Amino acid sequence: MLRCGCTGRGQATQIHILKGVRDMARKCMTVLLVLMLVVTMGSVAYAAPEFRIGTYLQLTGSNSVVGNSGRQGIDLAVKHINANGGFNGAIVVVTHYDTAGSTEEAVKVVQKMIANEAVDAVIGSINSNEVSAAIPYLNEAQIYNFGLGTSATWMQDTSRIWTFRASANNGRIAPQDVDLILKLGYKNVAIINGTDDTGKSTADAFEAACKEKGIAVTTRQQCDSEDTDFTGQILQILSTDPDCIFMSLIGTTFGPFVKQVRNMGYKGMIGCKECFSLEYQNVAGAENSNYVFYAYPYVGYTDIADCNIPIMSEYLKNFKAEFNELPAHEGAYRGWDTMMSMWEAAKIAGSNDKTALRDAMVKVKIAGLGGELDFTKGDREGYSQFYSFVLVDGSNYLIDDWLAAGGYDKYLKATGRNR
Amino acid sequence: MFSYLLVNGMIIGGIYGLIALGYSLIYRASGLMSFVQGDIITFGAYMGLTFYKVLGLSIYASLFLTFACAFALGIVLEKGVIRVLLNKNVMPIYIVLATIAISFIIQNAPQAYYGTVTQRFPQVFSKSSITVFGVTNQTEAYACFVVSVVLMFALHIFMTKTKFGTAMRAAAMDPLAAEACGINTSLSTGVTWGLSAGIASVAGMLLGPMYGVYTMLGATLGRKGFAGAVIGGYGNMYGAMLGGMILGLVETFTAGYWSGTYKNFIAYAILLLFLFIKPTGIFNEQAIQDV
Repeated sequence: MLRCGCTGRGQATQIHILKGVRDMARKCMTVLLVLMLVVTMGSVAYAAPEFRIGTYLQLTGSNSVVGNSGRQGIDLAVKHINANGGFNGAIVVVTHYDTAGSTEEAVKVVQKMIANEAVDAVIGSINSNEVSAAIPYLNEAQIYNFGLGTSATWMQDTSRIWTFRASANNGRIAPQDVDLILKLGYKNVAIINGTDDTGKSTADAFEAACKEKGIAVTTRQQCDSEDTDFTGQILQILSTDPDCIFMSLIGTTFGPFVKQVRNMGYKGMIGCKECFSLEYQNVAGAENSNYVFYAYPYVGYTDIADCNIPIMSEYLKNFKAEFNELPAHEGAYRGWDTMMSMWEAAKIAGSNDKTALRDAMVKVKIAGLGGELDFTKGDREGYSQFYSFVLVDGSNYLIDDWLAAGGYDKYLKATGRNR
Repeated sequence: MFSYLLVNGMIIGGIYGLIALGYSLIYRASGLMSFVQGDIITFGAYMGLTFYKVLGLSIYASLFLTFACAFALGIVLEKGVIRVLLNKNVMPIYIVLATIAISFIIQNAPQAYYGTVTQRFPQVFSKSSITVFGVTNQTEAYACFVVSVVLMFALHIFMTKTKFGTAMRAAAMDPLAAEACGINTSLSTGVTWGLSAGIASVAGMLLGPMYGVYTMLGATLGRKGFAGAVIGGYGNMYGAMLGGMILGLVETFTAGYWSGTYKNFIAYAILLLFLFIKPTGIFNEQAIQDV
């Protein structure tokens, strides 16, 4: 192959040189490989540890706005936590899984996280049905987990020591709703509730609290979560002439119910198991949404200037900066509060070991977006006290302020009612 | 209380009837069963929202354009999906499955633009509620009932008094003979699907101001409409309206005099009862045996 008219000695010299070049190339390659290996090993050795969180949220399908809001709240909190040292130096990595609003899918996703994903913690759905179905598996696998739903039922089992909640428990809100009714001077109330877990369990707790506090329940009506027409239920309610009505409904039923009850002539106060969100107001119509009252940790805002709670105002500013919008649903507050509670537990534990984190939860006491998140009672729940609001002309007023400002007299005058 | 229940039962029954009308029309004209009607209500509600709220068109223009878009969608579904499957000589169950698949696509598609938040459909009439026979209701609810009745009569006249309507019925009864008589059966079947979709979309647009617009708006109503069609006699237009009306009244009276918890139980128990005792429905339509 070396045909250049050279002598035999010259050929030997050239072959020798070529061999030398090959040897040199081999050595260089070896050194390069060793260097690459060292660099890779070094980077592995010095990579920051991770704290892996898996979530199961309804991210698609009807009502997925609540799941997506929860995801935004979690993502914003994770960004904040990682920028401030993570969980004891570990970077928090979150993987979101979509349940599409299906309980079966929630269980599948959780089983996958337990079996294949080696997650350190799990945050559960805003849909309590999904949480109820998933947490037995998480507790069996001893996974440190939080639920975002508000139903009372899934926290009743005291053996589920790996599950916590940093959002409201409707079962605890219900007695405060009854206190509101007493504050307004009412003697009786009619109830309408959905047949879903949250709707029914909240109505149960509300009815029990009414009994305990001497408020008569004139009638209790139920509806399906997919119902659109409530004529029969409303007529039964109105036939008992209640002082006020309490709604323990879900999602798409709030707006049409309020609209229909107002159209059928009821102008009185309506209690709500949760904050009567902008979405509900949109469907019910602004004029129909007046005089809806509720006890809840937080309310929705269309303008940051409307918020006079410093911690919430700060949160809304950060949320707007991150997502260029304000939260579409209060699920965004629940997601943030949950991550902040977990972060505090990590700080207290000084370790990311799951048992240490679980045990540290009982010492967590921080300022949440809806008031004090106090887990020191040992019941694995954060919120115990809630604000009381009344919705008038699209604004949420603290009910004590509203009453003090003569709001109730204005209500009587505006509606022509005597109570 | 009775008058309230009666009027409101008729209003919701009118909506069920309108949906049932679409089911029956498709069956009558093409011998096929479609499960997409309920979701075309959703489609109509979103189209109406787009024309009326987003583009700011008048209610009449919005209604017309919504009908036109749904009509076009119905033809596209028939020509682009159903006809293709029929040409492959598939079993009828595959047509049913195809319509179920389309219904899920329609449920999900609006999310791309509107998301999953319930959208507010602005009030159509200046007066939010009116009182008829001592019963106060949202104006749109009464409008919905009136439109349901008008559409039923318009459809009856179209099907029985016009050449095209007669051709459509002929094509449904015996396509081969109809074609031999010079009837374009392909066109008539396409128009039937278009009409059914158009009717459902009008219902959807009228429901928007009452319930808000969301992706599952038509799903439950569609099931009720189907039940109404079976009760009345699947494939019979008058039966569809009557069946829908009966269903609406039964569930409203059940909720009013007994409990809202059991209104669906009673409504669907009646459907089962009809299937067992009189599967041909009130109007004795020989349809069930063909499915």
